[in-house]
Amino acid sequence: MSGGPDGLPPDGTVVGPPFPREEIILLTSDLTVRSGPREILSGVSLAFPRQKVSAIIGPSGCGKTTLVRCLNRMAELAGLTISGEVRYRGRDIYDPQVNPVQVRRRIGMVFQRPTVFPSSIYENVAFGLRLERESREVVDRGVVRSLKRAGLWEEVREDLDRPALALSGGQQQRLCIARALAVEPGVLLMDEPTSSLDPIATQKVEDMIYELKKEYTVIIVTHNMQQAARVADYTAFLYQGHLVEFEETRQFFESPRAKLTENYITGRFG
Amino acid sequence: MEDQGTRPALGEEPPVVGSGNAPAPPGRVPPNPFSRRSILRALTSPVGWIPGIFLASIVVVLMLSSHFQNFGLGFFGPVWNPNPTDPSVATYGILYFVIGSALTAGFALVLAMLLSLAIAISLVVFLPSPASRILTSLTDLLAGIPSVVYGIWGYVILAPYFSKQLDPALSHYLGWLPGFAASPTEYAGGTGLLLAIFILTIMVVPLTTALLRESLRAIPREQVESGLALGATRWEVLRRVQLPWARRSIPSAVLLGFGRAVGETVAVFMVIGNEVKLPTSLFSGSSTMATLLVGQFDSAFEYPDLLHALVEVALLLLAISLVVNLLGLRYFGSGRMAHVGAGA
Amino acid sequence: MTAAAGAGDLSVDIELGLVPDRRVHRRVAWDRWLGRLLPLAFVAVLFPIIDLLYWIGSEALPTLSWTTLTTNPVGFGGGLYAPLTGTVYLVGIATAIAGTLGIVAGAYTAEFASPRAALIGRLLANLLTGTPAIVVGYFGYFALVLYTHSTFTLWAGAITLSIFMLPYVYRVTDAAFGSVPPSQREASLGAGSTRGQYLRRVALPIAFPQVLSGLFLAMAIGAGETAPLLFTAGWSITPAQGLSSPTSYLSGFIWNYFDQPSNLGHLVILSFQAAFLLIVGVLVLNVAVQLVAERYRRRLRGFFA
Ligand SMILES: Nc1ncnc2c1ncn2[C@@H]1O[C@H](COP(=O)(O)OP(=O)(O)OP(=O)(O)O)[C@@H](O)[C@H]1O
Ligand SMILES: [Mg+2]
Repeated sequence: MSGGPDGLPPDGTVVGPPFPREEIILLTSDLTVRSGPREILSGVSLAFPRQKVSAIIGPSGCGKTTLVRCLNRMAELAGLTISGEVRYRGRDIYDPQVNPVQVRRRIGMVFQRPTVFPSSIYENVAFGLRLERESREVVDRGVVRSLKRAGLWEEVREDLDRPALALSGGQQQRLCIARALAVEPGVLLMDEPTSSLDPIATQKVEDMIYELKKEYTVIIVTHNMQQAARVADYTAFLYQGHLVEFEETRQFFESPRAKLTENYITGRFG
Repeated sequence: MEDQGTRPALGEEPPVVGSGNAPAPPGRVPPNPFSRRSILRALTSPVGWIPGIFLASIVVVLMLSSHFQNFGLGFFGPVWNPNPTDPSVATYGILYFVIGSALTAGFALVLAMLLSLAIAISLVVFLPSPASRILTSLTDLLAGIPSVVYGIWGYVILAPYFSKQLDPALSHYLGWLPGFAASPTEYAGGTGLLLAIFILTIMVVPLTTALLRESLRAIPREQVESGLALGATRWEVLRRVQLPWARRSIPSAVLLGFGRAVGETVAVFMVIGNEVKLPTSLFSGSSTMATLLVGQFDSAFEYPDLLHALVEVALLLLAISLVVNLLGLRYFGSGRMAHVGAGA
Repeated sequence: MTAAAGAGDLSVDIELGLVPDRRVHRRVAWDRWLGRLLPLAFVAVLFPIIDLLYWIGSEALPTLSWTTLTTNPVGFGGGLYAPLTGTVYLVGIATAIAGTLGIVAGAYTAEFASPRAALIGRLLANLLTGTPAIVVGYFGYFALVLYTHSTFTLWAGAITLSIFMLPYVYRVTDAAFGSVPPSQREASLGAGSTRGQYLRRVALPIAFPQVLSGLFLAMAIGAGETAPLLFTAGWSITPAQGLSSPTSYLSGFIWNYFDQPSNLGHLVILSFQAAFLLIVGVLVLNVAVQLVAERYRRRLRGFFA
C-alpha cells in the first residue's frame, strides 16, 4: 500500500473528495487496528486536507476515537495493534526511525473532557514549551499567543497564576486547546471537544475552531451532526470500523452517496 | 510569572488514594438521629471497630503492666544494667537501643526508598505491561517471605560473606568516609549494623514499592495521556505530571516503611550482633529497641524491674509506630489498599 | 506554522525528528536511558531474593523426605512433625478466630457503619496492622499468660496470632463488600429485599472470592510470624500435649536452632528445612491469593460486560 515516490498515493486511490494532492497533510492508508482478535478499524484509507476542518462522525463505538488516536500514535499506548500506514506530509509516522514523541508534538490532541493539570493557568499552557527548555521570553510569548488563539486571553489575562482547575468547564477546554497550540503543531486532533460543555461554551469553541483553520489543520470527532455541518469543511462517516464516506460537508449532508450515510444522517438508524 | 514547573497550585489537593465508601443510594432523606435505625446503628457500631478494640486493649494492657516506674531521664540514658546482684543500683537506660533503632531503620529507609522509587517508576512508566504485571506480583510476593527466614539466611550466608568480602572491601576503599573506618576485629563475625540495614532494606522494599506504585497508578489516565499528547517523553510526564500528583505519597511511604522497619524484631536480632554500645562504625554490633524486647525477655522472669522496663520500651515502640503510622496514613488513609502492606 | 511545503522534503523530516535535532535527541535519549537504568533496581532486590531461595532450596531439598514430615526431632535426627503440626494448629485456630471476627467486622463496616464510624474502624485497623509484632507478643504474654496465671499455651499463641492476622482479613472484607457495584445493591434493595438478604444473596457471592483471598493472605502472614508466639505459645520441641500446653512451631524451630554449634548440626539442617517448608507454604498461599484474585477479576468483568 505504499505510495508514489513522494509518499503520496497515486491519483484516484484516495478515498474522499477531490482536493489537490498537494493539499493532503495527513493520510491513512489501509489502516487496520486490532485489539486481540477483534478488529476495531478495518482498512481505513482517508486523506485530510491542510488548513481545513475535517469532521469524523459515526455511531458510538464505531472507532472514531481509535482512528484519531492512531493519527498521533496515542493508540499504541492502549495496547492496540496497528497495521497500515499513516503519513504526515508524506512521511510514514509509524516508521521505526520516527519517534512518537516528535509525532505528538507535530500532531496535537484535545480530549473529550478537559484535562488541565493541577497547576496555574500559565504553567498549563507553558507545559510543552518548558519541555524544550525554551527561554523565558519565548515561553511568555508562546503562552500569550496560544491563549489569544484559543480566545481565552481576555478572560484570564489577569489570572495567569491562578489554579487552572478554578476555571469553568468551557474555559478549561479552551485552555487545553491553548496548551496543545502552544507547541505549534501542524495538525490539531479534537475528540468530541464539546461533548461535556454547555451550548454557550460549545459555541465559543466552535467559533475558535473557525478561526483556527486559518493557520491549522483541524480534525474533529463529533457525535453531533449539526456541529459537523457547522464547523467542518469535509466530513467522514465511520461505521463499525469501516470508512463509509468522506465528502465535502455540504455534499455529505445534502446528497450523500452511500445509503448507509443517508440513513444515519436522517436518523433512520437502529 | 515565575518559573515553577507544573507544581500543583496551593489548595489543589490530589485525591486521596483508595478512599470512597459505597455511595449513598440517591434520594435518601437525611437520617433522623433518633430513628430506630440510627439508634441501632449507634449501638452496633463497635462491631466495625473490632480490630480497633484489640488495638485499644493492647495499649491499655501494656500501660497497666508498665507501672510507669519513674526511671526519669535515666530511661533515655546510656547505661542499661539490670544488675541481678543488687537491683537497687540497676539502671535502665535505652539510649543505645534507640540509636540502634534509628540507625538501622533510618538507613534502611533511605536505601529502600531509592530502590522502591526506581522500581515503582519502572513498573508504572517504563516496563511493558505484561512484564509490569508479573513483576508487580513478584514484588508483592516478596512481602510474604517470613522474617525469620530472612534472619537465618542473613546469619548463615550473608554474615560470613560480609565478614570476609564486603566489610573488608568497604572499609578499605571507603575508610575515609565516616562510619566506614573499622578495625578487622569489628567485622570479624559479619553481623552488625550494616547487615541489619541490608536485611531491613530488602524487607521494607515490597511495602514502600507497593505504596508508591499504587499512588502513581491512582493518577487519572487522562492526565498522563495529555502529557504524552503534548509531546512529552514518559520520563517528562512522570516528572511533571505524575510525581507532582503523587508527591504527597512519598513522605507517607517513608513513614509507613519506617514504622515497619523500626518494629522488625526477629530478622534484625539474628543479624545485628546484639551488642550494647555506641556504634563506632557501620560494622559495629548493635541492638535495637525491638531486639532488646526479644533478647532480654527470658531474664525478665527473674527481675520484675527488668520486665517493667521492657514493657516501657514496648510502649515506646508502640507509641512510635502509632505516631508514624498515623502520619503516614494521612495519605494512604481511609485504607482500602488492602493488598498493600501484606507481611509484617 | 511551517511554511507550506511539498511532500517528502527536508522540512517534514525536521518536523518528525528524522534530521537530528539536539534538543529532542537529548530528551529522548535521557528517557531511553532512564527506562533502561531504573529497572536495574529490580536486580538489586531480586538478586538477593533469588540467592536466598536458591540457598534454602539447595540446603533443604536433598535431605527432605517423607520421614522429615512425619517424625519428631529426636537426639541426632528426626524430623519436623511437631513444629509442622504445631504451625498448622496455631494458624488454623488463629484463622478461625481472625476470620470470623474480621469478616463480621469488615462486612459491617462496608455495609452498615455510618461513614464516620467506618473511617474510624479502618483507621484503627490500619494502625493495628502497623503495630510491631513484638509488641503484640508482649500484649499476649500479659493478657493471656501472666494475668490468667497460666503458662505458655497453644491457645495463647493462637489468639495472639489471630490479633495479628485480624486487620488483614478485616481490610480485605471491607474492600470486597465495598466493591460490590452500587447498581447491584440498589437493584436488590430496591426490589424489596432486606439488608440481610442482600448481604447473603447478592453481596456475599460477589465478595466471597476476595474475602477468601484475604483469608489466605492472613494465613500466609500468620504462618511465618515468630515474635507474637515466643512469649505466648512458648516453645516445645515435642508436639503440644493439648491446647493448654506449650507447642512447637516452624518459625520457632528456626529461631531456636539456627545458631546451634556444629555438633548439633542436624538441628541446623532441620531449621533450614523448616524455613523451606515455611517458604513453600507462604508461596502456595500467595499463589492461591493470585488465582482467586484472577477469578474475581474475571467475574467482575462478566458483571460489567
Ligand atoms: N484499548 C482498547 N482495548 C480494547 N478495545 C478497545 C480499546 N479501545 C477501544 N476499544 C473498542 O473499540 C471500539 C471502538 O472504540 P472507540 O472508542 O474508538 O469508539 P468511538 O467511536 O470513539 O465511540 P464513542 O462515540 O462512544 O466515543 C469499541 O467497541 C471499544 O470497545
Ligand atoms: Mg470516542
